[in-house]
Amino acid sequence: MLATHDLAYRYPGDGPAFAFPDLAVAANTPTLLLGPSGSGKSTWLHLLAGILTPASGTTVLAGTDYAQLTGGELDRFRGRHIGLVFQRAYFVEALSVEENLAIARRTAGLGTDSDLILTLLRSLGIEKYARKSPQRLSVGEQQRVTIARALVTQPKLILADEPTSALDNHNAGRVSALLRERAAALGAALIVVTHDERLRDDFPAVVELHPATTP
Amino acid sequence: MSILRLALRNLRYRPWTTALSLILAALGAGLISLILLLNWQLEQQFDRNLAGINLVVGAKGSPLQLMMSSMYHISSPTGNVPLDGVKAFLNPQHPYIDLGVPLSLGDSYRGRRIVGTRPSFLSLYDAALAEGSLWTQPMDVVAGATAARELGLRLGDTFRSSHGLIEDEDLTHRDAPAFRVTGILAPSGTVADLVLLTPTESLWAVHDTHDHEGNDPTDHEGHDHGPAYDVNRPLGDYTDQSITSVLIRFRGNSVTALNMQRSINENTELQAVTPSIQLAELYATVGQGEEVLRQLGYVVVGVSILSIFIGLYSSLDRRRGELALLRSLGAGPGKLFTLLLLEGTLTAVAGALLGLLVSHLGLALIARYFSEAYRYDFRALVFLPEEVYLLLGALLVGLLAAALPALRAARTDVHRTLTA
Repeated sequence: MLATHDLAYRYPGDGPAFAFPDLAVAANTPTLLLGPSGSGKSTWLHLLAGILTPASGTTVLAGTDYAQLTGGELDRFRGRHIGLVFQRAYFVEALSVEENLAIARRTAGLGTDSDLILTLLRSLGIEKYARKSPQRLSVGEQQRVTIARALVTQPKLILADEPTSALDNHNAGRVSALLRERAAALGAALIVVTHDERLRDDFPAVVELHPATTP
Repeated sequence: MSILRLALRNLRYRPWTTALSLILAALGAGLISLILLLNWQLEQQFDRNLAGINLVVGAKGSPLQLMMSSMYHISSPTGNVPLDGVKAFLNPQHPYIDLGVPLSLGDSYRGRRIVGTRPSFLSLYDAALAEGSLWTQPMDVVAGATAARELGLRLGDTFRSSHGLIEDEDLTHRDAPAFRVTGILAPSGTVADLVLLTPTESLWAVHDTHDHEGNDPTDHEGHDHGPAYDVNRPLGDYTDQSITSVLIRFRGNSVTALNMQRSINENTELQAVTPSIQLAELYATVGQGEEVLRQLGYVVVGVSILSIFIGLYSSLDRRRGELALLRSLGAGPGKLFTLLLLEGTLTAVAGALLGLLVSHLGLALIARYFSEAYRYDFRALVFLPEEVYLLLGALLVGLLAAALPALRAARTDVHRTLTA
């Protein structure tokens, strides 16, 4: 269960400032944060991910207000409890699909669990790519690997940033379903941040953002 | 998948950049290590064979040549000197001379030098018999340990010498009496290991026969028992004969040596050389070339630092997303710093190890050449304490080259990188 309260962020210098509505996302209510670009979606996602530290407000996950954490502590908390799916598929290029998942467990401070990794890859239909370099996969396959990586640490919160914007209708629907299905299986809270209207009907909870910046 | 393994995988992922950095580090470390090793070997060989010799007296000519031929059995002798002129140095009653060792050089057996001398040669190099006994008559031979082993000489074996110092069938003294091995020395780690020792008279006996070369060889059967020389007589008694040189060890301090050297060089037809001074000059000459090579080694090390630095730094641009990803997955700035630092130091240290390997292989080749050309034994498997410093230096080089890229990696701004 993720709960945020009075979350606000101001970019350094004369940058834009944002204030975000309060969120309460339970494991059984996947939530869509929908808004056009410039509405502060990425900022919000990075605040929720603990990549940015808010100017004020709280972000509580599993009893920890990680808005208060800094440096290594915050990195560890994020690695351990939050699974991230980015808009662009980033990988450690030198490593295979399998190893990319293994390093995610390692950086989260978890042991390498080859069985878990293979089971996960199988459940996403990409086990045959386990020893391949992620760069050799198609965009859709790469997206599935990043989802697998977000799940491999068995996080309490899964955050996805525009996971479907690069995909066609068919694949977008599959990824959306996959995320909800897997999050439910893990009992993790799921938040998808997007401008992709196609996803609106898939999610029981939708929070709309408007390009309204407050100085 | 630890940070160390990730670093190794990253290095392997950029094979050309890594190979270039490795080669440069290996070249720098190898060059420096080879210089260290050669220098050490050379000084070891030369110093071990100084044997407390204060003065070498022989015919006029190049002082370096006189020292090299008489003390190290490298290069040809400068010529002969009449015994009459040097017999004073061989006198055991001499007030300033502790030990005077006569040498007659110029003949060899299958590339091993035959040295005509007196038993004092053994005291000079602290050599002792391992088997057999010392010579009792001319043509008796006591073989040095290495020489005996490589020539396969056993007690009682006989052989004929050849004229000159190289192996040449045509120069064999066919008509001369044969040498007979009566003793073999225990290894002493000095030139005594490398030569075949015989009483001075043997060489005269060999060359006596030259004077009758036209005669029927059967006439010489009598010579096989050795001519009528008494090897126990003081050499000074043979006033009409010559030897090559005398190695002298003084009693007391070396002021005497300097004075005696000057007086010999100025007042006689002889030449006297102080080995320690000659060696110092030799080292100084060799040292200049060595210095140039060493500087070159440092330049290569500098270039290898640069190569590691550029390799890592330029990889940062391509890896920014990857580094941001690692941060978002929970790896703190310290981990990214360590990752880049490891990549740099692993390259430098692996390169240096490769360099040491190559320099030792190179030394093994040089050693083979030396042992064939000069019968000197170089040891290629010696590891010097300086080489440990070289590895520590490589570690430092790696840290130095990787520090800045590592710092930049640690400062990766995840938010900005991932939203760009």
